[in-house]
Amino acid sequence: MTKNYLVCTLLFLIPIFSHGQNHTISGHIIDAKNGETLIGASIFDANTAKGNVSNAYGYYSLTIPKGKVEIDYSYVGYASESRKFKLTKDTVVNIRLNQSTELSEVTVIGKHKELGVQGSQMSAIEVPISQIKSVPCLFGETDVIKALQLLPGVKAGTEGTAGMYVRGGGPDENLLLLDGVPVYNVNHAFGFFSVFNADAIKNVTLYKGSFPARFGGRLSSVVDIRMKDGDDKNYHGNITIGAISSKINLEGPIIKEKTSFNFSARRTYVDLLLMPLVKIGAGSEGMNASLGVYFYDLNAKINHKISDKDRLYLSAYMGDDVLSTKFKSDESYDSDGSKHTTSENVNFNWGNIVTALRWNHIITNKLFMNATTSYTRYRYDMGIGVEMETKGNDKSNTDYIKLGMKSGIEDYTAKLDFDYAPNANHDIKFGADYTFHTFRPGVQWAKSQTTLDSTTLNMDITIGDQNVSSHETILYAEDNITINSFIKANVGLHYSTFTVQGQFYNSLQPRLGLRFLVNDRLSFKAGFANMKQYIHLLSNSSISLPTDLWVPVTKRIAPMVSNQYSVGAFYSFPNIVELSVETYYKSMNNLIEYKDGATFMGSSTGWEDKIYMGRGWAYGIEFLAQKTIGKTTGWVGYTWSKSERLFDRPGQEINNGEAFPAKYDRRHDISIVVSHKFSEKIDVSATWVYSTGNCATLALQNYASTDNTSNGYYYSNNNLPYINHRNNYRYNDYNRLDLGVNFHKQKKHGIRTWNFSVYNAYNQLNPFMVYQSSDIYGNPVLKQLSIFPIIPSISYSYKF
Amino acid sequence: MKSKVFIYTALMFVLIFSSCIKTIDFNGNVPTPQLVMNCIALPDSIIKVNLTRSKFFLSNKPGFTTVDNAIVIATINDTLKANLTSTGDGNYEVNYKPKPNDKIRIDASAPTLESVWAEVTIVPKVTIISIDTTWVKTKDDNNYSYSIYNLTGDTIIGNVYNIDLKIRIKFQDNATEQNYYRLNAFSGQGYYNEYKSNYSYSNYYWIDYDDVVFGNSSEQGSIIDIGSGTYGNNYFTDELINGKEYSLSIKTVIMKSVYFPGKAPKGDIKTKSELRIDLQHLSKSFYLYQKTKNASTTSDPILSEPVQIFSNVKSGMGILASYTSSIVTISL
Repeated sequence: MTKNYLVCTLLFLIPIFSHGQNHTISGHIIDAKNGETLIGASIFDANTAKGNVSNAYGYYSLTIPKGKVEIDYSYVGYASESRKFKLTKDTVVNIRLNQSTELSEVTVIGKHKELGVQGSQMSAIEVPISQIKSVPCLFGETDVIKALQLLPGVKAGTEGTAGMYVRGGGPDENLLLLDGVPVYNVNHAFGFFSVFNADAIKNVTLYKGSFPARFGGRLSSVVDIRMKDGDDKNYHGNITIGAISSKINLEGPIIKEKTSFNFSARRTYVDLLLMPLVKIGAGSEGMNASLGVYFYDLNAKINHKISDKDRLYLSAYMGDDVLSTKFKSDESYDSDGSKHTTSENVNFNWGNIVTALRWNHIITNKLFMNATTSYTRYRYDMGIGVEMETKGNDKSNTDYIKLGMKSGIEDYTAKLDFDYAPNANHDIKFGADYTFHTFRPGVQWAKSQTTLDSTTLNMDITIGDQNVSSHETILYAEDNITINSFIKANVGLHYSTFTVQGQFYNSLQPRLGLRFLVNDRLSFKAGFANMKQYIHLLSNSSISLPTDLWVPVTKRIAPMVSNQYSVGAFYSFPNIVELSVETYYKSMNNLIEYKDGATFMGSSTGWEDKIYMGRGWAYGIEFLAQKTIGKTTGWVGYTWSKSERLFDRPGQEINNGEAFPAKYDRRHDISIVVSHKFSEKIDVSATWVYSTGNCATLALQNYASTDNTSNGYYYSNNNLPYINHRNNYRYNDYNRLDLGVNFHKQKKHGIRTWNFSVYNAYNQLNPFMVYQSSDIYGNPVLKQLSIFPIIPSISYSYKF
Repeated sequence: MKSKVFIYTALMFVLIFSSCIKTIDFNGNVPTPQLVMNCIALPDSIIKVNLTRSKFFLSNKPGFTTVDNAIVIATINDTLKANLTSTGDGNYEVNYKPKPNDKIRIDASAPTLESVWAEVTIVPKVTIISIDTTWVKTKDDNNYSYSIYNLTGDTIIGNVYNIDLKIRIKFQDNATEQNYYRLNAFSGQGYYNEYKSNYSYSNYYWIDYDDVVFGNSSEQGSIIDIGSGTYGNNYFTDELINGKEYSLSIKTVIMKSVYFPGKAPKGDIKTKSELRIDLQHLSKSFYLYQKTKNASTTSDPILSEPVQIFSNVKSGMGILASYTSSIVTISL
């Protein structure tokens, strides 16, 4: 048996390391105008019909036989470039592609894209950032996550929130990477906005299945977001003033064509608008008040080209939500002349910090290395308090009572990634990753000071102050193999270990993606991915609360695991539209759900006692027609899906141990996203979404309870709610139309743009929540809360 | 306070412009009413069953319709069958007093409603081996709650102290089966009622069920909920104590009158403090029913999933359950 393995391994390795009379063409592909590296650009040699794509840093390597070559370089939205020459030695060719400016021009799209018909990757979608920016949004605030929610296979949670439920998974099963570093809480303002500022972003790719081995740690999706590097030639900027926020983006060279920066900032100003109202309201009651309700983001990136082979990147993100109020009463006086004031305050802050330092090094023209050290942190801090101050002639004291909670998670990571392209048939990625996690479970504290007859009594209590540390290591290797002109495979292994509180978990996760190319326009694909997740998000609300808390697996709570199988067909009308249909089946185990009635409010104390473990499965079919070039761009997506849960382990039954629909199980989801550019002066966009209503648990009947009493009586008129099934009721179907129009005008120093957008243009009152209530006569009725009627917004931006 | 309401209202207004609440039609299938059967079978008490109809949750009809035309049959230990007779108001009874370990099955059928049945085994009594109490004054001797004055009100004749009372109730758990319990502890100060010739209790003391067997209530571990008490948390299982002789710990704070030497009033002022312990052995159905019923009442309607209340009535609703009490009363 061992001998067979050896022979197989050698047969596999021989083609990888056989050189023959081959030479390597390598280099960077960048935007000619601003020097931004282009991710996933296509390199294709027409003579040998071999190709590759640029990596996350715009680097490519293609090893082909010596002789005449005719290399096409292409990227969506850019005019392609060709190079014809005789290949006699290893050659470095750095390419600068120009953005397509002619509206009528049909830009060539790559023949060797990693995604689409030609690539082996399935269940992944790249959405151009220009497309994301054109999607009309709530309050006109461009939102990456909201745009991704419009893709097939991705369901939004409650209306308006940034929750993502990918292929039947939960909101904690998505790995959101900003420049390769996890962001643990992507929500601002309770999930109504996401933390990603589109002005700072270059590229967004969503993986829903068939995960490459380089990704791991979550069951359902990976969102790979790359920040802009910054223009290395000229200074540019963009200022936007919107309905609820303003933002600024600046980029330019620090040292021309060597060092560049990109900086973005955004802040909302609801509090500034409200402050006069607050002052008036509080003043009428003899109080002073101050208010802070806002969020802000800062994105910054610097990249420095040390040499042709070395490059450094330093990127950072920082964002916070602040909710603070303070009420202070006017002074009052006692008969003895002592003066009293009372103040009440609430402070609530939460936010992320993400930083990464990267070093790109071209070891050989076939071997590219990226070394990263990174830090990511999410924390929230909440406090409420009342303070009473007394000042008298002979006494002065301050009494107070303060309560608070704080929590968070912090990661330090060191990572090495390698891209190795030994020949045109193999594109190998391998690497290692170590992360030191510190989970800061909910710490709650209470402090008070009371003065009684010149005696001061103090109380200081803290509950739950033990940080939990864990070590996570990852090793991975994947090979994108071109077996022949028809078959291409991505084969990979992802090995991970997780150590927490003396408990050791490990897992070897196989990954496979296969592509069968029928012709240049049609291919069939299949994929399999085994995934494991070592952390859970404690959350019990349909909206994302900042108190949602990440906790590691424990001895009792095992890692979640999933197996996903997917098959699909891909068809391309060149330069017109790309069609795909995919179907999938995903099984999930060790999922957690709260027990009936259990709640979580920011403390991890005893959380294991509040949850049950079970399993689930999801399946569905997704259609996508995507057009990314030309005057009209956008996509039409449709998803039919089903997602169920079964919690039937002895003593851990939910729904009497019977299967029930998952929280956001919806049968149909349709989204149509269209942008059209009429001219350089006007472009319009529209989004229409329709979906089956969300499900919820309603007690559809009432019945008499029995009140056990000491006299043995047994009947009571008390109502008991009867729930026959969890998630037994469906809200009304959801539909909404959003519209947007941009008016551009060339000014002396730049382009000004007025944006007018309307969210929910036909004022559809979609259900946010349905609940039982009573009318004015006390009769029971069913009520629906809708929170987003028609919402127009306007913004002004100036790009220079 | 009004200003805060104004501010938060304004905040919400700006954040979400204008949310809308409207009454909507129920868009699902209106469920057919079902037969609701409730019966707590107690040893040495005749079997009483109550039958009602469930009603649609949007029905505005008050109360529940009783079912008086049903056929109700009790089957004891799979052999003895007895018809229960209607006594009105949906009540049925049969003159049979269950004994421990009896298996009781009740079948009920009524016109236009689906027939229902349920089964329970009468649980045996659990014996309280002993009850120990220990107490300490909560404060030093000078830190009393209040003073006791003589009848004319001009002389202090004693003090009332707060007493920390710790109670340990020893019992034996049966190792051969899974057991469910409820501890009802009552502690109060009673005054002699001349008319009824007994003591009427007017001061009740809060009992803290803090033994580890009571587990984590949803409130525990949260400072924010300090003072919310442990209502409904006096149920426990033998998960941690299976087969053991175990001493349950509970505690309370009572008030005790201490008179200065020779100052105790003479005459007819009669008070006494009493502790009554009722350790109940529950059927599993009773335990699950009570736990889920309590959770349904106390759970957060927005932040948590609604609670499905346990029922062992097949094809219907309600509960057939059982428990036995072991009561010990001691004077404090």
